[in-house]
Amino acid sequence: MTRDIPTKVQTFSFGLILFISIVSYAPKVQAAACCMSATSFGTGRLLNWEAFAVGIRSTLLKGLGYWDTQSRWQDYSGYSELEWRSELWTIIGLSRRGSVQLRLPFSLNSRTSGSSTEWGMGISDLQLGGRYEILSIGEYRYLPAIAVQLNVTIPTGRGTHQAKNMLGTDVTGRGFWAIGAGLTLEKAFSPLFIQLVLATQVPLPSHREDLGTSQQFGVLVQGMLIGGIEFTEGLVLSVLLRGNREGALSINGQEQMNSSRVDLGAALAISWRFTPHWTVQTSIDSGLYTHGWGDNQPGRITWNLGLRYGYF
Amino acid sequence: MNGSRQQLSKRRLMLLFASTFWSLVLVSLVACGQPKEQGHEGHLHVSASLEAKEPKTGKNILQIEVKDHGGKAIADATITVKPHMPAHGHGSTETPKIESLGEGKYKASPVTFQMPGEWEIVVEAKKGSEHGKTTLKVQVK
Repeated sequence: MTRDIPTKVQTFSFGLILFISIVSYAPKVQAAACCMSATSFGTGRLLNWEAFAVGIRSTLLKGLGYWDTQSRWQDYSGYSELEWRSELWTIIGLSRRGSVQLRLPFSLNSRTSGSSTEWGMGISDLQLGGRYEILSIGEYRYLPAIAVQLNVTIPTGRGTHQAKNMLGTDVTGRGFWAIGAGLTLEKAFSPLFIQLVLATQVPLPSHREDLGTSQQFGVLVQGMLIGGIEFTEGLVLSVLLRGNREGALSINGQEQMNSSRVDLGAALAISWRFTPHWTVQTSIDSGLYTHGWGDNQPGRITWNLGLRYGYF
Repeated sequence: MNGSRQQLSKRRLMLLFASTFWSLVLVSLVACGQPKEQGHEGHLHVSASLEAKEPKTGKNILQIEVKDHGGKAIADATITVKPHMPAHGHGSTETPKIESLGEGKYKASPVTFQMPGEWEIVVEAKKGSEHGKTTLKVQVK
């Protein structure tokens, strides 16, 4: 007597076998706990032996629709938007635990409404920050690495209230100063690592010229959970889950109804340190474009490509 | 026999429930797309409506009508039109020009929405010491 195995069980078994194969293959490469996550995603951090690192990252964002203020997903109709962000960044080590970071972004936007297409570009908001490792990775066997970050965003870009182009394509920044703080916890179980990033950003009040009022965006709270695996030396695959929530906007101290935002998404990233100095990174980030998976927020699919040089 | 009758009436009840539910959803969706006036302020009565039934991103035209308490048309009022996106904290990229059409009617153009979403258009009329204001809520596609 034979019985058919349900498809779900087959899929699960296949996934489990694949996962076990990947995990059992990867330890053979003797991955170093210190290095897997450093260059795996985004700007990252310095490797233990690096004095500084510089990089360039290009991001292509394609708008698919937006979540309205009731969290309902709305597809764009007769409207499209495409943004290309590019940034130069550097991290400079000050001591074994401390480093400073500078990010200089540039933005190129295109929006089409009906038959008219408009382009705009410019320098975006500059970001300056510092990072301090309270516990470095691998310092204590059973404790995770702990790092704190502080940063300031300088409104060098053009905010929405300063836009001149009809479709606002010349908007390249948010138009206010902001102070940010973050905490990173990380644990490596070679060849795997897991990282939790919690961050907050407090925007400072800005002047709204069109209304002649003071305006302050809500506090942004960000959470990211990253899991990664090193396949061969220097080749890291990471999966990221992220959630952002921005509080309500205040005008003259009064909170505006339905102005808070929620942005949820996931990303898949691959990084490859192909020489001891050079790393190439790529990632794709997407939301779940359906009701309830965002609030008062555009829905975009994002593709990143970056190149990093570490000096030692 | 009784069982199949019960099943039939259950099915009818479910069908009735489903059709009522989807009719309500449809009605609210249609209603969401229509611009809504959010009430009036002041002594002058100001009413406004966009020419397009389903406003789109880009340039739009707004029709305005101003009357006094007695319903008399006010032809030479000073009109200001401010479109803004309250949930995003920004206004429009262009300031609409106002054209008087006579008999208390005005045209504001361009009323520019640079992105889809929920917009508000604040229309204010002033004539001497009297004023009136209305706010139009618009869902831009």
